[in-house]
Amino acid sequence: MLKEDIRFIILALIPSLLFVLPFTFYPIGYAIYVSTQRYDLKYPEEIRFIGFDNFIQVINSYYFTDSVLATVIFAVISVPLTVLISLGLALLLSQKFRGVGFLQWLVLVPWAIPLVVSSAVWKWIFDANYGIFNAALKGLGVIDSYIPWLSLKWPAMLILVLAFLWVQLPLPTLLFLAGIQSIPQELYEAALIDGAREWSRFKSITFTWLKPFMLIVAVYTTLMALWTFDIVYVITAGGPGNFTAVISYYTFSEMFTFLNFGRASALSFMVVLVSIGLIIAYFRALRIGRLRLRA
Amino acid sequence: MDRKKIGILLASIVVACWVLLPILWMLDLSLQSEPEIHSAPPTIIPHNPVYFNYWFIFDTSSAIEARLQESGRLTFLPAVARWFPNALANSVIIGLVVIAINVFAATLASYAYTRIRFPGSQLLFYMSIAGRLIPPVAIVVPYYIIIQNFFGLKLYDTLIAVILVHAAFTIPLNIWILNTYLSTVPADIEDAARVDGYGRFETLFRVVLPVITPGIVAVGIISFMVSWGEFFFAFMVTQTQLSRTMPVIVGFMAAQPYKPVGILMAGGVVAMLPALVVIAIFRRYLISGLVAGAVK
Repeated sequence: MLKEDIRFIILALIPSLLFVLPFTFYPIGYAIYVSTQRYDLKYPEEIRFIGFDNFIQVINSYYFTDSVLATVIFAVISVPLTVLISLGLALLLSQKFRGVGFLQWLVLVPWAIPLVVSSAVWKWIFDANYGIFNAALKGLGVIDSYIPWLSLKWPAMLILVLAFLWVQLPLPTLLFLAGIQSIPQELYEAALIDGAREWSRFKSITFTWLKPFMLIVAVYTTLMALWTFDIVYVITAGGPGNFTAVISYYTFSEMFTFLNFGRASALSFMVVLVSIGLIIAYFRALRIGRLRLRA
Repeated sequence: MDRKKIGILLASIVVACWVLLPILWMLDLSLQSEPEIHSAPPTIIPHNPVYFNYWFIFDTSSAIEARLQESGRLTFLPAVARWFPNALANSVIIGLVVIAINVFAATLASYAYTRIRFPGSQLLFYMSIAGRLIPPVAIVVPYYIIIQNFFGLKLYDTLIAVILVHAAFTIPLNIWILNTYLSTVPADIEDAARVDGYGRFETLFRVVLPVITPGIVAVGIISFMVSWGEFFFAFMVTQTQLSRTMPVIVGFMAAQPYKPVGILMAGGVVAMLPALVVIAIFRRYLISGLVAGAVK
């Protein structure tokens, strides 16, 4: 290896590692430590090692099954929708037509609104009494009386998915759009000469090219779905019943309501394990052997 | 051909409605008074739009005084809104610095990982992005502890603390994105440049940067927007209102026992404006004409 290369590697890596490493390894170490302790700030004098007890307590808790179910339902609906819709949006926005610049800008706009506010807007749209959705349906004669959407199980879940899509679509769309920009036009020209139809051009060029981007989008969206807290907190507060009370909802309440850091860390660890499993599954599904560092 | 045009037009209309309807509704609500907001059926077009909500955000003290003189009683209004303009400025500063850090650090790192074979590169790369796997709620306390004493610096309750935390939060994702982007770009022209006697830095800045502009722009926008909307960490590493960011102040406004919907919506409308300008500036460079030409 050249001396110049070594110097470049060191200089190039220092800035990012300086930011990333302290904020990666200390938190991981801390989370492992806390999850094996009886770490309840209500009883600070009783902090001691208890092995896997936090995990067992969490699994046996009254909320575990319901919250896993809520999280799974939410993620299974929202993740594929986010990936597919953002891919479609990026394909639309990479076409050349008048106003496409404006539309590219517009698609990113929901990102600019603080999550508390956009969640409140969705909550207010579907509000039973003052919501515009009920008023619109009644005005069109679809329903006779106002329906409390947020107090019904599946409508509440679907409203959460809608709000999630609305706030989460910009990032995947932007990524796909940037990815499409890197596709060499010659590939399409060659395919055109070969007489490939639009669908097969999409499948063999666009989709293949975007696979690594698809992986990032799938991983990112999955993490966001598994971590969803804000929109649930604002829109349904876990209701009706506990139907939309996702895992992170209980992680927050273990941590900040009951101050039981041990159990909150144990819950988080389970989420991490599930995410790792899913990431491996995505690698397999997209037939990417491992993260390629080089072309 | 015509069928395609109609398809694009229809799809564009659907997309525009999807994004715009909730925003228009937010705008609409922000122009209504509380009794008007809490009325059924909802007011679609405010009969006489009120600007009180906006007034309240930009000049909280005099708005409260005016409301007192008008009705003689003080309703629960989120006085924390008086910090809103300051928080908005904080958020813009933090967001711009986070863009700069990310574009600089993530570009350099991902170029080194992608283009140079060196022992441990795979491991370092994984280590750089692994931090993003842990749910925020589990890492917020260790982040707080680090900020209390970052290599001997007491950064708690400063803008630098928020910048640091947001950079640590966005760099891993951005390294991964730029790595993916770079690995789709053939290294041929770089090799040619190196043969011509360009050093690594020269190659990166003169040859590679123009080619990967869309990727870098995407990274810049992502950094800004993630920082712009981030509530939780910004809340944990600051204490005084002076160093709060926009989402934190808006969060406080929403956390009042009596929720003033109109004021919250006005906050949302104003809060989105600076970010919209930033997106508009950056978006121009998202579609780069250079890509197709340079990769040949």
